[in-house]
Amino acid sequence: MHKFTQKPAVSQWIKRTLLSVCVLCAIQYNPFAQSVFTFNALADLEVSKAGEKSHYYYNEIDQNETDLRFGMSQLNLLVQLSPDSNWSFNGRLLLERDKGQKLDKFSTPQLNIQWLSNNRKMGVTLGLFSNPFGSFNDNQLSTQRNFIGLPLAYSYYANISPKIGYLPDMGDVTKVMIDDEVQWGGSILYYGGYTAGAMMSWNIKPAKVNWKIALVNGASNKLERFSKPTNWGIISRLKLQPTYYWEQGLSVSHGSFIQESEVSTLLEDLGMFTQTLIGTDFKLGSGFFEVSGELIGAFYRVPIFDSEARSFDTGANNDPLTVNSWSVYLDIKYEIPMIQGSYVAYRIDHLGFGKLEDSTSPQWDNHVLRHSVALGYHVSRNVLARMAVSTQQVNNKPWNKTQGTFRFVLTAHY
Amino acid sequence: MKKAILLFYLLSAILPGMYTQLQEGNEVMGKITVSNCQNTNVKGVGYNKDGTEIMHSDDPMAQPDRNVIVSMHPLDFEPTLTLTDDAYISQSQQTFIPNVLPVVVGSKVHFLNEDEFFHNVQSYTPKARFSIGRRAPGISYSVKIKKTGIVDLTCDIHAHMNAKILSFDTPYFCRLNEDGSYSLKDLPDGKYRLEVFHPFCNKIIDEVEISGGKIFEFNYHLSGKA
Repeated sequence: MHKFTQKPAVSQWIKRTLLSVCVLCAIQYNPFAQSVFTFNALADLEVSKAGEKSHYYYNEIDQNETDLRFGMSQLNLLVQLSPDSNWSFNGRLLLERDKGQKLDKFSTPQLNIQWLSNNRKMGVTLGLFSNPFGSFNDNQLSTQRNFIGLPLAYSYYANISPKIGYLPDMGDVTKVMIDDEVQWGGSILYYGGYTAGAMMSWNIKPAKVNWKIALVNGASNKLERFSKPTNWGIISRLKLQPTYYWEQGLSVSHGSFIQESEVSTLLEDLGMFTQTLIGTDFKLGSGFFEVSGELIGAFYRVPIFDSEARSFDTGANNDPLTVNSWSVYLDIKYEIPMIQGSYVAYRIDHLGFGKLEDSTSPQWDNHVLRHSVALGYHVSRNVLARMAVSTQQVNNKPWNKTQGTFRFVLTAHY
Repeated sequence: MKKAILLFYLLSAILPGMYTQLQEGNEVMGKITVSNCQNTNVKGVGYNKDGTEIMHSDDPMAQPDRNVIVSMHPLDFEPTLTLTDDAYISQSQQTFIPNVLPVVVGSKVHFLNEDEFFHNVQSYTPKARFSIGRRAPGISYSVKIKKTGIVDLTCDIHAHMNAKILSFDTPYFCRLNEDGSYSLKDLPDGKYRLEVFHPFCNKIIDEVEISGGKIFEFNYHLSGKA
């Protein structure tokens, strides 16, 4: 049985090639003479406490860290080198808590070369860049987010894993070890929000109509950047500004995401299992108010995994299972004019799952409803303090504090 | 007798001032050259997500070399301050224009959104913190600048936008002309601290003395990153 390797040699090769190209181009353009070098650094110091039934896959708080916890949660270094007004090299080095545990996960989520036309109407990005789907992925840095936690669509793990497809009650009830790892499923959109590939951006009408299309390495729920087989995906986003106080986005994403694993040889064609997303997002603003939100529909074609037989149930006609989910969140933010640099925000967030055919379960995962409140204050231009509390209801059960969270984050950024 | 003494004191207090006012003021002029002040190392709060959605104005007043400010700060007398009444900063193509605005402390600065979308203007500068919230296109909003020194401006909606207000406790300042020349007229006799401010260069500070209603020429060269 094939043993899937987490970091195949090809990924290292692509990384090194990309880095070498960046360095060579930088030298070619003699950056010290005429280039613009921009760097930003950002560090998050966090205090958190959560209910006893918390889990990283439910509410981003590790199950062993529910007591009062204090520590650094994220360190970033962002660099941009622009030899001229047309070209730029962009990188983000990130050190973060691995699944909410130790601060030891190092990655380079952004590493790309970008070309812009002289009038900035057209742009091409090659490498690792933020997924253009939706409006939330644009807010990659904590300073750009009103809340500390991510919306459910970006963080709550549903019962579909990139290694085994669908399995009822995956992770929390049914624990299946694949490649020495318990399968927990995945979020609707990859929580990091980054993808790899090539993206074209066209400012059809600057500040009014912008269209992006990207050919990437997998569906939007894919976690692994480099996988075997190489997955594929296409993402497109149309951003409109009908009037000065209203922004509207329309997004679509489609791609494959099932990866090789110790059981994947039992499947004939991994590329036939796909995720399709459609979404729309909006932002309305006036004075010190801002209302924004996003609606995402997710449609999957996945294999069904039988945990007892450790095999796939592909059905009589070998057809993949078709399931869907819907997520919606609404953010309301008010900046307090009397206390410059402060705001209060409220989010209502829902993740709902469709019915499962031929099953006693009413839906293929538990519905989740979350309420969050956040307070923020810019201590100075370079220091942002945020405090947020959230509570969530799972599968319409009575409200309780078991998955509630309290988080306070002090962000220093330069 | 008391009236005569009072008159004497009044005249002795007023006449020297009148003499100074009647005397033709001095003129300070010169040229400022700039080299190696390119903005090669930028600090900021934003990072490049998609360059096509970031706009930059081609307006000359957005260029660093058109935002060089020369100011003269009296060292041996208190100048009479008149508030700057035409202090405007516009936001056009996601750019503050001008990029540096000199004003007399206490003046009102008017911010005008000339884009077709929301802008915000805010400052986290201590003692000059403010935020005007999201402002619609074509709407002007005024803020009184109460402190002297540099007031850093940003737009909360477009992180790459920034500008500076130079708030002076002197009325003697001017912007460098396109050809690099500057001229300050009607300066009273006295000792001054002359400052040359450039957004990306080291500031020049010099001490000069002028008198006799003459024309004084001071030329400087700006270099080195701030």
